[in-house]
Amino acid sequence: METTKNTKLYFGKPGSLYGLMSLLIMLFLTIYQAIMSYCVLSQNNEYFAEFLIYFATFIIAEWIYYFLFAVVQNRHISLEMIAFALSSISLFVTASVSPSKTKTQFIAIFAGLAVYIAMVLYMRSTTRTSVLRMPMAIISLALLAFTLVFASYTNGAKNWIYIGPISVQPSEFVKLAFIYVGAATLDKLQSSRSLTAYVFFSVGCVGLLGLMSDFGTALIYFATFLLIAFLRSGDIRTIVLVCTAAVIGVILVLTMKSYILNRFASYRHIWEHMYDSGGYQQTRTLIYSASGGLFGVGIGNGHLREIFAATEDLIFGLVCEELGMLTGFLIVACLAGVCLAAAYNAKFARSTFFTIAACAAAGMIIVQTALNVFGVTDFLPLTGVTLPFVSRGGSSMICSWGLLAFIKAADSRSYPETPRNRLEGKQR
Amino acid sequence: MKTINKRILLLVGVTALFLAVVALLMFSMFTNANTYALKSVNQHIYEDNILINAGDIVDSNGNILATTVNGERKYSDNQTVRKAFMHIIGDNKGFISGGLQDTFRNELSGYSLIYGFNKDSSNTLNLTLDADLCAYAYEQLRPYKGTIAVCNYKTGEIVCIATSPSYDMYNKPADIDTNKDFDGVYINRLYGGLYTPGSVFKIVTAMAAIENIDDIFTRSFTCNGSHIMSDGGKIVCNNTHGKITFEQALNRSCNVAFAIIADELGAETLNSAFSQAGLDKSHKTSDRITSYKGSFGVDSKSNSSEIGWAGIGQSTTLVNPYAFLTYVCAIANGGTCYEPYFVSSVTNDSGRYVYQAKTADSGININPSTAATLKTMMRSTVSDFYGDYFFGNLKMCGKTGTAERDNEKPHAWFAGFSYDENFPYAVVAVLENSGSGLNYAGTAASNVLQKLQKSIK
Repeated sequence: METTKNTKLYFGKPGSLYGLMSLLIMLFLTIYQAIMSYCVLSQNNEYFAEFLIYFATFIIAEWIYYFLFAVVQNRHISLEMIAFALSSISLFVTASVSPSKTKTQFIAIFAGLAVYIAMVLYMRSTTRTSVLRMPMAIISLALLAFTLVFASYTNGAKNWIYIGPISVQPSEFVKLAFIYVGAATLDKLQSSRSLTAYVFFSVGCVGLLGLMSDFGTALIYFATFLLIAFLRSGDIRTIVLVCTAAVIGVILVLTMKSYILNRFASYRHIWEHMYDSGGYQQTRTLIYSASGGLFGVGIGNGHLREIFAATEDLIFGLVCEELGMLTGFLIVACLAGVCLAAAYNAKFARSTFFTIAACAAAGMIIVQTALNVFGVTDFLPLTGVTLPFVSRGGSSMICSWGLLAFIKAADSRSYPETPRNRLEGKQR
Repeated sequence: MKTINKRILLLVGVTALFLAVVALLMFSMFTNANTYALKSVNQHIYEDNILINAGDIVDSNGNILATTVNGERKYSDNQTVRKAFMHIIGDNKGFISGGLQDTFRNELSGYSLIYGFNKDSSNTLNLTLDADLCAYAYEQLRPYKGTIAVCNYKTGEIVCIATSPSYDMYNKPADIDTNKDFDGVYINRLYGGLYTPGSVFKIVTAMAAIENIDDIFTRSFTCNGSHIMSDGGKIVCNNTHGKITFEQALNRSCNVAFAIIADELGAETLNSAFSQAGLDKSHKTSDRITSYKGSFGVDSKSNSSEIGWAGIGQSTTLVNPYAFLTYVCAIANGGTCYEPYFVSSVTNDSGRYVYQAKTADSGININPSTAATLKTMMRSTVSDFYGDYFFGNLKMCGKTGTAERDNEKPHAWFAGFSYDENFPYAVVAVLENSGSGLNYAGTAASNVLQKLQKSIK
């Protein structure tokens, strides 16, 4: 790819197609958010002033970002626009369903944006990418171990740590480290020793998550591990071997602790469990999604919001009911679009670190989206994971932005000014 | 680097697989949306399994029979109307199966895949039934159990249905499950009832005789008050009729003559007449109700007195009132008729049809000349025997039935229709354990038809 050519693509030429398109999308997004703001504000007199500030700040921040990066720096900001759109839905839904938690969500979005910008800036240099490999791996394992020991069970899983008024889910942050470590080790050498070290690290992470009973997150880590391992080795036999070992391991665990299976006993039988916890959330998700029709009953008019975890695990159903199934599926399509963009970016990345990191981050997003959306609709067993960018929750929001940073960093057009980039870009 | 680029295809493959499953999910959610949305735990339309949000149900004159006010289901202000329509509309708690609020809940809820549950629009279900007439008919049934229905035999529109016992949905009796007066209260007897027909069944036997015995109108029968059949069984008549013709035998409802005719026709011919009259099948109506199927109960192994009793509508014969009404409509209409129905349409706010009744053939097919003959005989039964004065200024054709019961008062039946094609209505009335057919069912039917006649003028 000719990066020199690319840098001139967006706003360089007056009236260029992409420049016009992104301006139109920004305008459309702003109109949508203004309407949503109006709808939510008209329902909430108590928080009117507070919410008005949040919503206005959000929209202004979006335009500042657009101005700084798209207009001034001439960059491609499609990924960010998707993230802004999805984050704003999470903000509006939180404001409408749990007004008192809106402040936290608002802060989390900006923290996520800050993490995103910082990570993209950090990864400007390709030499920095492997420096923090060891400390990251050690901190990650320590953090997970700490959680396992000190966390108490919340909704059946031991994954929350409370520090004063703040509650964090360390496994969300470790996701970023997991990808960083996986991509960095591989970049160095395709040696069996670095692979072995990474396997041990992965087994540690997945094992600790399993011990926390957070099977959904464990599965996301495992899938990401498989993707990284394949990208590193390209060896299908290794992958099959790992999978076989994993299946045997899972079977062994399940035979010893059969109560775990009970959690998934209602899978494909949710209508028989309409009134108990086995199928309550899934049946309500399906019933209320259908109730919304294609265009939704309008924010605030739904009933799924009365069900436990409506804005977290069941967010897909809540969006379908109140904003319409079209919006629900559009969100899913956007997340899939992010993954395809990642595949495209990875192809022209500056080094294998970026290729692997982008693919792994995208894989993590897609697996998590699948577990969430298919879980609440009974296509897969319900594991209780969040929908990236859209579910309410600070840790999850920050992690989502962090994952996006890996995808963005792989896009060589993100760093047009680096000479190294130009050099490597031309070499390919 | 080139080798790793090929491996990226795995991510593309995973995303493609994901999108394929999403497409499958969309298909599944869209095709099942209706089923999901109408589940009784859906708080958009139900609260504690009670229907709270649905469109209006209105009668043929636009009177509101059911509506939703501020998230609560309201019914007619008139208590008798509420009782008369309880089985038709159905309660909102699911005790009544086949009530409109259940069978038409899809149309009533106004749900659509595209718009979901839109609070601002509601559909209206329009009935062909006349609320005043139904309430009046209900009063005619009381205090007996039973049913009465009036149908336009040319169009198939039912204008009146009443079934007793019933109860007020606003004030459900506490002893409803223990009090004998409420036995079978949840059943709409028009569709779910199965009765011994007594002499109204002679219309069916007469039909078989007209079609199968060539010289039936030149024969004569002698009734001495009873008759010993070939197997030694005794058929008892309601009177001593002496020497009478076939037509007189129907007019006077002579058991002896009809037992002899039934015996001569035999089980096989009678069974096919039973089937031809549509009495042996469940009618699946366009109103989404399935009627009970009757049974005749004799076959080639039955002896002649069993066949004799069955042929006069006693013993093993059981018929459903709705099926019998349809049969009578077919006779009145020249041999065929539409399946009777009472839901004419469902319209949305802008008056567009969401549902429109499709007139379906009832499946009954009687030879037109046989139907005409039966019509004449039923006309003479009223004019020469019951007396036209009995039906005010209506020119009626009909037949009564007094179905004898062991240790109980008989079930009173009347089935008939107006001879005047400008007033094309057929009626069936059954009053359980009341008394003679003419005095009870005949009176009720006459009163209801005369009220209908007045309301049309």
